[in-house]
Amino acid sequence: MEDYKFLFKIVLVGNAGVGKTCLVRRFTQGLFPPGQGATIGVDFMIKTVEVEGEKIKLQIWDTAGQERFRSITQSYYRSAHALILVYDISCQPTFDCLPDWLREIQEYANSKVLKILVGNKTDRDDREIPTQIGEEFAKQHDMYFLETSAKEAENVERLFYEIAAELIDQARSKDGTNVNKTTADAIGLGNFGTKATQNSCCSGFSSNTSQTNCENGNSRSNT
Amino acid sequence: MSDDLPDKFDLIVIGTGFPESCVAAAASRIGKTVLHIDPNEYYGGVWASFNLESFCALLEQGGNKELRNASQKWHVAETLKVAEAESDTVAGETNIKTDAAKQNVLDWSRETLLQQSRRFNLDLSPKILYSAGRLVQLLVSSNICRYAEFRAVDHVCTRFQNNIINVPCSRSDVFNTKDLNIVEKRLLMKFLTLCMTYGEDKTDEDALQFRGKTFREYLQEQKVTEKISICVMQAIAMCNDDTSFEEGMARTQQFLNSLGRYGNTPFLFPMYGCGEIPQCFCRLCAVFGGIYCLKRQIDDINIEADTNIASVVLEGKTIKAQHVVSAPGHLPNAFLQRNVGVYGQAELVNSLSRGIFLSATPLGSEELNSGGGGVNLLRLLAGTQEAILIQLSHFSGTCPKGVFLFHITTTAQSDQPAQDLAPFVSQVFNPDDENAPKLLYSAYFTIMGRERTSATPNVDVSTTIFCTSTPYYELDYDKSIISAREIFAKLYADAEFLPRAPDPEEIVIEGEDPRALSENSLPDDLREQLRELENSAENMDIEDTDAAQAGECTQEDAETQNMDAD
Amino acid sequence: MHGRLKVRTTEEERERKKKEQTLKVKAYRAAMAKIQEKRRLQQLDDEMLVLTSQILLRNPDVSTLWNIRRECVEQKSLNIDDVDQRQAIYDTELNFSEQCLLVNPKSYNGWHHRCWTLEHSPTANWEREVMLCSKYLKMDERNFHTWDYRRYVVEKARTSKQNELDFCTEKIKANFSNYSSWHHRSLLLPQLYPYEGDAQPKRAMNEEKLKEELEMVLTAAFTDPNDSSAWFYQRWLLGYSRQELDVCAFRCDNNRAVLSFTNPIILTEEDVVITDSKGNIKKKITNWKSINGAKSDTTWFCSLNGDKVLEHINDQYLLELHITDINVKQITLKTYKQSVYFFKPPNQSFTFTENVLNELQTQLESCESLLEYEPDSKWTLLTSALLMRAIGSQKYHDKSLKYLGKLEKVDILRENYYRDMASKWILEKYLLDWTSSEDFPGKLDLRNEEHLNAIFYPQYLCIADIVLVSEKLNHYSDKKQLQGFIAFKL
Repeated sequence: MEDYKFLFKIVLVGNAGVGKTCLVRRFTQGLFPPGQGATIGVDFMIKTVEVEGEKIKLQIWDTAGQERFRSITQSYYRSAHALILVYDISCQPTFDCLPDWLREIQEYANSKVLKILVGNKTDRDDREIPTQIGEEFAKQHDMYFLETSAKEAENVERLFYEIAAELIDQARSKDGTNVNKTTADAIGLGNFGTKATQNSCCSGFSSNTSQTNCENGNSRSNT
Repeated sequence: MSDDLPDKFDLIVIGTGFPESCVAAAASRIGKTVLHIDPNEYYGGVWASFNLESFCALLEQGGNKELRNASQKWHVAETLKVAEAESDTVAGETNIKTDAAKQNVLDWSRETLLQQSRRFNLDLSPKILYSAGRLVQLLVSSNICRYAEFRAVDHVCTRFQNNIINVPCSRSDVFNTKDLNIVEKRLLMKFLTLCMTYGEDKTDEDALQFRGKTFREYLQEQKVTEKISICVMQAIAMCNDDTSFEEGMARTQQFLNSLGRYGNTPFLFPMYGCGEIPQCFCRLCAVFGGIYCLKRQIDDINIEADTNIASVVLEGKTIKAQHVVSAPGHLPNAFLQRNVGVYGQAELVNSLSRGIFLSATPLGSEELNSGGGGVNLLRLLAGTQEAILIQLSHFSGTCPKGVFLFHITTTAQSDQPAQDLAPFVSQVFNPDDENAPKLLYSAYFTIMGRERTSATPNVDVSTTIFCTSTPYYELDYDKSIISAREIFAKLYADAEFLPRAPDPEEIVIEGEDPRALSENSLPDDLREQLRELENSAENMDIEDTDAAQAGECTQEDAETQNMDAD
Repeated sequence: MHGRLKVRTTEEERERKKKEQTLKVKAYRAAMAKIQEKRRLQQLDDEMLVLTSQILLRNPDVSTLWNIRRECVEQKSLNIDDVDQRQAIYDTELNFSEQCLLVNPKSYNGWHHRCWTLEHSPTANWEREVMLCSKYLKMDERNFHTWDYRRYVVEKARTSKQNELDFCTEKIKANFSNYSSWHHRSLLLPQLYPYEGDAQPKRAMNEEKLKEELEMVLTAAFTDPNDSSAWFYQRWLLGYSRQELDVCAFRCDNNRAVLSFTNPIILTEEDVVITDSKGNIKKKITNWKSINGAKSDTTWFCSLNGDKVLEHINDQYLLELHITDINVKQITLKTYKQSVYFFKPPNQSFTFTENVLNELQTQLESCESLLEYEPDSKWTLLTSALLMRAIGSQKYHDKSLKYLGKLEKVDILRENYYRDMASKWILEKYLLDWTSSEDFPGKLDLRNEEHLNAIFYPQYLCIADIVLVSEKLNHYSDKKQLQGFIAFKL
């Protein structure tokens, strides 16, 4: 069994080059990777954090470059608990695209998903989007707002810890027993192998008990 | 538009349907550079799912190259107000049940349904997965499964004496069903156990005795009642009177092997519809560097005679590729006209007749729809024809709460899908049967496919261009996977098809010492220890046995102990 | 190749794992040392809680650490008057033990700590605990730790018994191969549907409900005969496991008395009195000796040398008993030669009402029709035999024995089990027939019972003057009960 009670899926979206991957890497690995692009084969990063005495596993998903030609698969948004929409404060076009992103989010993400607007690259001195503009946009669209610098590690921890705390509150208010309800009925196929070999599922066809039949015990001692 | 794109790829894939995405992912996975294009603005082509609005719009415009003969009909009023007015005129009806059913219908109008448009995911090519079937195995072995979630099919049904009954398939189902008496329960269990162990003994008498006979003949020998026979033939083995003994047995075993893995039945349905499946493969392709462009038209493809390299003209820009894989409908006309007959796909033919129906009530009894409606599977027979019916409730993420979505699929007999499906539709949506679901909306269309004759090989070895297959009439994706693998094998003869993608934890990030523990991934107390260790620059080679002595219980240990305790 | 995926080799991974393991060991040792030191100094503070958490989360079965945690919690809540603040301390413990139970859902310590926490917390939320159980039983419906804990919290939460039964039914529907769930059921039903009839021994529950249960359990047995849990439950329902304490036999002349019971008991001197029909005490029998010298026994005897207990042998004598758990207080004795006696043959009063009998009959018919398809099905044969016994052991005596005979052949591995069962039934029948034979109770002759391989009810035999057994049962002859009534002496 896993030793965490909550698993949350956080996805990042936003134009290419706004620093999504850098935010993820900074948070999960404490690195600021020079150069560009996601490492081949890396799908999402995992970090276990402790918030309010609870162990929480965060699964942070990156776009895999599909945002380049605006071709993100819908399935990327499915079952996300939180969605971080990122723009570059030193690049007006990345801010101008936000409404397009919001439309896409509206279309494919869960309507209750926690949305956070992040203005990244506060380390740059050629800022084009004043903080206040970002703040207002976020407020208008019912999003949390934060400015970060993946390079300087500014607000990055805070961003993810606040998301975790908010998600935990949501999860708790949903259910008194702290069940991660959202995925209660949906089935992931990850544990296919173990199921197949241990046959521990109740609904199998053959009996899966290793219990010995009561009639099998030898006679005298039994009666 | 295409300015950012490199001008050379190992592989260009056109169309994002299931087999194309499969090949794209597999190529990208082994390090090939892949450009994946789709002329549509959505993923999936003829394998896609649509929200209600887009679906209606697609049918309104008469479909496209791969989807034809479209028609649709609203069985509810435009808006709710009008509907209420109508309800006044029918007031005074005596039958309470009919009233209730009407009431449900009246809860919806075209307007209210379209308001919920994005809650719909209407599949053009719906499928059901065997829990131990080819696709599930592929998803698991390739690790693509992490991109999708599934819903266990709640019930496998069959029609028996004009009623829809639950086919008890698992042990608990057999135990709970009221449709079988206890002797029948025993007989069914005994028969299934027999099938389960069948073939373990190669010299089995039955194997010899029934070779060359039909599965039905075998069933008749097994002293089972008619009801059991119908359950087995129609729903478990899903075979016909002339299905051979071996085939029927193999299918029964496939069914039984898929039991007990995830849900109560051997079947799974992808959450949010089957349109998710190709996208999962695309995501893997992208993660391994594949480049994605939707909404791009291919003007032409040329093949350089001496090098056999393809030049794909993409909205004016020429991009070279070692190979091109395309869905049959997406090859540019100019190219096809120069190569008449070579690809055999110039003309698409009717392949599948499809119906999509919405209703406010589910099919079958309360028992089949407990807890707000089941995701159910029903195979229908009419003469020698058969059809697959899939009932979806909101639990599958394909329709809003209170609406039930029905997919019926059969092989196309004509270019009139409504006519092809009529014998099946009348079995389940008979307007004279007051228990039958009352329709809110219905739509018919034909899925087109390549004509298959012995003269048109699946893939042509001499060319750089390969054409994928359109959806087959099959429950699962087996044939589609096989054909995608065939193409992959021609492209990259010795390469492994979709080896397992590593989990993030296994990947060594550039510049990282592969032997080192990452401080970030450790729990607090271990992190502290690590720092201490690093500070004291102590030698790390402590004997393995120390771990055991300390009485430390790792997760593996705990699991072993649990198993022992069981 | 630049930008290509690099995956750790198994060698590198092993090295990493080893390092991690080493770290764990180091962390464990460091934490343990610190914990011991702190405990010595009685520093039961937050740091102590953190230290124990780190270890327990990896291995929830270190009892000492749980004890230390409890000390910490008590210490912590000692000076806090505010209920909410105190509750917060206990809530932390609940959260923590829940996390540990996720690591190991079968940790005795983890479950125990929850009980302790709830018992001590100012405002325990028992409903939440019931929900927690449901959640854990969803993950593993056969975890008996959870079922035990569930019974405990359900009691506290005063959850309605009907709800519990419904829950239980759901679990059985999902997977009937579940001892815990059947057991849970067997505890709930007698309380929810108590038996109100006067059959002896008492039924487990109301007969209407019994009928339903029989139906359900037979369905389970037919669905999967190889699953033993249903069998156990069926036998419980049919009453085989509920032999109540009762008197089986008594005999007394002027020299000796012997008294036997269905189950072993400890017989004390005040318990037994012989009176005449007018209620005059003739003899208070003291000095009971157990026949095997054990403290608790089924058979007791007493030497009465010299006492004229039975002065007028033709009088009506009564035996008065005052033994807890035995409802019958007064037994009318019969006369045989110079002695008085009482005898109640084993397992005879077990009859059902019409309603249940019909159900049993239907079940028997189902079994019989199945035997036409599967004449050698061992469990069908056995169920049939057991059903026949429940419907009418006399009526079906020969047929049920025939089935056992068949079972001996088709299920050769359990041959002796069936033989023993047959011996039991044969003896039951013999003892019943014996009561109406002319030899009764003087002589008991088992020599002609060729299928009798064992003697299960020696305590019934003790009132006969002579017990004759066949050659193969000779090894029983050292049983004191078989030596005959006359042989009893101190």
